[in-house]
Amino acid sequence: MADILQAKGIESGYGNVQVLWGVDLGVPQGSSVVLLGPNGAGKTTLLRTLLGILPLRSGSIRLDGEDLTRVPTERRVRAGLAFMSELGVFPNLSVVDNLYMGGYFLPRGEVGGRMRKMFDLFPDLARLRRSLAGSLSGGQRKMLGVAKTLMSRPKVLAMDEPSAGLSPKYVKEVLETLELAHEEGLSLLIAEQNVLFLEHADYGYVLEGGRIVAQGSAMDLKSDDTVRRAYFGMLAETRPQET
Amino acid sequence: MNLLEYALLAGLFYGLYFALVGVGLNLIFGVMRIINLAHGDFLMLGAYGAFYLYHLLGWNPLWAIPIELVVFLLIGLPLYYLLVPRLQKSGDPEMLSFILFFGLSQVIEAAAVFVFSNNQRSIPASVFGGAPINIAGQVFPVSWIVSAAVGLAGIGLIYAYLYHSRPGRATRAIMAERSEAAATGISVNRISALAFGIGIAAAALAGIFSPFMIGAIEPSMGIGITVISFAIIVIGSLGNPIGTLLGGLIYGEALMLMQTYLASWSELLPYVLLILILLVRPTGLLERAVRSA
Repeated sequence: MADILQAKGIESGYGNVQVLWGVDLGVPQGSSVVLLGPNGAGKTTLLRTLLGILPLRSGSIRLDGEDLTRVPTERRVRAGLAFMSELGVFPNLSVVDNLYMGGYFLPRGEVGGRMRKMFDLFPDLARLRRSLAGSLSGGQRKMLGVAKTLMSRPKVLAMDEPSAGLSPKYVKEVLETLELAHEEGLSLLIAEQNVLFLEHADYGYVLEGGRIVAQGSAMDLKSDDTVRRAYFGMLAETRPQET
Repeated sequence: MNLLEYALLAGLFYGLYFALVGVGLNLIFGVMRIINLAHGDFLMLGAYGAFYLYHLLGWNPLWAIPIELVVFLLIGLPLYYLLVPRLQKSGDPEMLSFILFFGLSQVIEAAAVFVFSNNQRSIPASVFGGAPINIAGQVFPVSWIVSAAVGLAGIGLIYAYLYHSRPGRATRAIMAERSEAAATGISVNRISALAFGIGIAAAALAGIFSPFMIGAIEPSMGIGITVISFAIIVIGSLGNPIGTLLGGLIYGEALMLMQTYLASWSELLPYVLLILILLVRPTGLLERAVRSA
């Protein structure tokens, strides 16, 4: 299937420090792609570069055939690339105001309808619409983060560590939320350390030291030896004796 | 008793006006985390604008309002792009902003001496019509009522902008979390430039009425007004433009009570209020913790 998001030869970094060294990555239309990697591998840097929050040093970025390499963040979001940062919400703004910000680029007439759609999708948020985002539980906050990015009807949602700082119960909630988003026809690119996300994904990349060191379908990656050692440490030990 | 009523009502008018004096400084601080030390100097320029429109063309200060709003917005936008993005790329933007805007304040003041001379200027309060207005048995100059009304309208417009317009909502998002606003795709620079322009235009708007509420217009008036504005926004909560209304009212009431009962001490008022609030409630009266600024 054609890649809706296509990044080639991405190099980027902060100041004098180069973090990414020629990263190639694609997100097929309608799929869910996980970007695995330890802390400091460059996952956040990659997402921020794709969004144009960090300047690209070399490489190219295309979304749905449109070249986004040189355009500012605002244009990328308008083109359908949404980003959910690790924080994901504005803690000092209400739930409704957060959703407004997510729908910032929608035509004025569509905002109300889109917001009702989000409240249908996430009834918890409807109940909490006047609350400050900062007062929500960790799981609800991620839910709001997803709803906020969905407001703009993105084609691809890039998420930075949706499970960070969440207890396993909330991680499950987040995964359910993402299933919902996926059913909306959204393509997902999820940067994670938690391999649980690979279970729910179609395809995966492993990023280490700013380079892609492994990739493949979620099934293949799960049985890949390097990945098993790095991310399924526990599972590797209890591996059935097939060799 | 009569005296107290008078002081309280006068304090209300002064308070509404002083909220306008401070609101631009607070808006700019809220969005950019920068203290515009040239705030009072822009107010001074606004005052000279009104003076010359009146003196040379015979225009009522009310006609200066639309003109100055447009002119100062147009000054603020390029000034933002010239100064702020570069400042924010530096290692310590907050500290450097003090130096930069203090320098800007000095430059504006020196240029004002050069262009306008050191002579004190004023606009006669009679431009708004002669007869004083009787409110609740007390008599007040029309110019006070007009200044207070403009102050209230100015704060109201900024409130409407922040809470009911698209760029205003984006402004609040930037105030709440700058990096998250960028991640949402809001063009942080454009929205901040607007806020900067509005902040400076609000200062100029307050300047138009300064001859009636603050005193004679002169090039050196800026720094004192910056200090008063700073006291007002600290009282009302830094970074919360609407909180400026509360800060302004407290300052106005305190000023009028001091002038009525302790006139010789009233010059100290902004400093006393500033110290009091910092001792009692450093985050301002409206509960909103100042982020690591």
